[in-house]
Amino acid sequence: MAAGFITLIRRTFVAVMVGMAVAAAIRVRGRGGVPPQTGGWRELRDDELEAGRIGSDAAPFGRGRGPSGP
Amino acid sequence: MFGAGATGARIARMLAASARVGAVEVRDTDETRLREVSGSFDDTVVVGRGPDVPDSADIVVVATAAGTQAAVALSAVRAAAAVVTTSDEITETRDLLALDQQARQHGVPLVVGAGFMPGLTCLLARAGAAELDSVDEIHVAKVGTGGPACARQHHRALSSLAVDWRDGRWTRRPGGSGRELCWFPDPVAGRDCYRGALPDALLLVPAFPGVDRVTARMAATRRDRLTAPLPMMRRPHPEGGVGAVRVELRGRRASGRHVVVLGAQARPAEGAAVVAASTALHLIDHRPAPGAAGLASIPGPDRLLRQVAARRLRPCRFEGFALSRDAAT
Repeated sequence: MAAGFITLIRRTFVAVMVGMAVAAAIRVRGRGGVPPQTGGWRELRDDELEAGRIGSDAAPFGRGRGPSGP
Repeated sequence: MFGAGATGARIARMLAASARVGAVEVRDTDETRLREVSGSFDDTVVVGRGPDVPDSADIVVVATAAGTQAAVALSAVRAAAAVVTTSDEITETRDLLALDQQARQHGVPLVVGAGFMPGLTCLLARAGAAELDSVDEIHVAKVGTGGPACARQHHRALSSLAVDWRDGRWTRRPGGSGRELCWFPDPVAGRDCYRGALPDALLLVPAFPGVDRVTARMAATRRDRLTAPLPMMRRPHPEGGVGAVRVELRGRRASGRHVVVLGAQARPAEGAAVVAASTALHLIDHRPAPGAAGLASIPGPDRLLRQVAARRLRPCRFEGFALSRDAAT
């Protein structure tokens, strides 16, 4: 009974130590790279809202060109 | 102006503030609510009663609870008034689109779903599509709710069947399925989004012939999904917090595939009011051909989007970054 408990303790200790070693190795030797420094959301400028960029030639108003609902 | 809720009251104030509008009449079935908000209106706004649309009305804006808008829209069409509706309910959107023939007969435009989503998302889809030679997929998503009626509709939508357009045909999927992490403009950022009973595909598919896939999702928490099949446990807040919408378009430009992501953030009731009021004013200046359709089909989307942006609902673009040195070159 006592021997089994000691074995459990020893194996748990070994597992924790191995886990810590792997984590340390990844932490030290891992190449995570630099997080993105550019990109993300930005507000559209006035010139991007001009007709030439968006296009004012929308599909004709009303139905009849596309499929109707299910 | 039908409806004096969180969205309707704002629309009335915006329309009254415009020099192009002579008079605004606001109606609501809730007399108490109407009295509460009437103090915030100026002298150009009068309070009306009843469901009938007078023949003298030029434009009728409907911001009542989802499920009650089609009847008002029909009255307005029969009175030969241009109509702007804000419904985000599938059945009602279908009913409003079905008024196309009557709108044509009476020679009036009927704008379906001129809110935050659908509405602004339709405009953003049109704007994004202009950057592509062909659009293959459109995926829209939203976060947040406006007033109590919007919150109730949000709750219902999460437990109802979703309608997607996939490979040239309609498909129904369970609400609350299809989790996808979507990134919205700050400060909302990343949220898990799910399918729901959202009408966006019904409005976008006719406006983009040839599109392969159109989907709509809504942000929800674990609690939202767990309680979606049940009645609402407590009364919704008078108004939700900050919300956001995003539109992702995938298609072809030149020889390659490209993705365009546009979005906006605002309190949903404020965002819906800006879009609805801007659309009503847009109809005064640029009367489209008679018929019923969503904002993705409205003529002059650039002018309407500029009006929306001028009212401090600024569209945003997501600009990605190269994941590798190869992709950057």
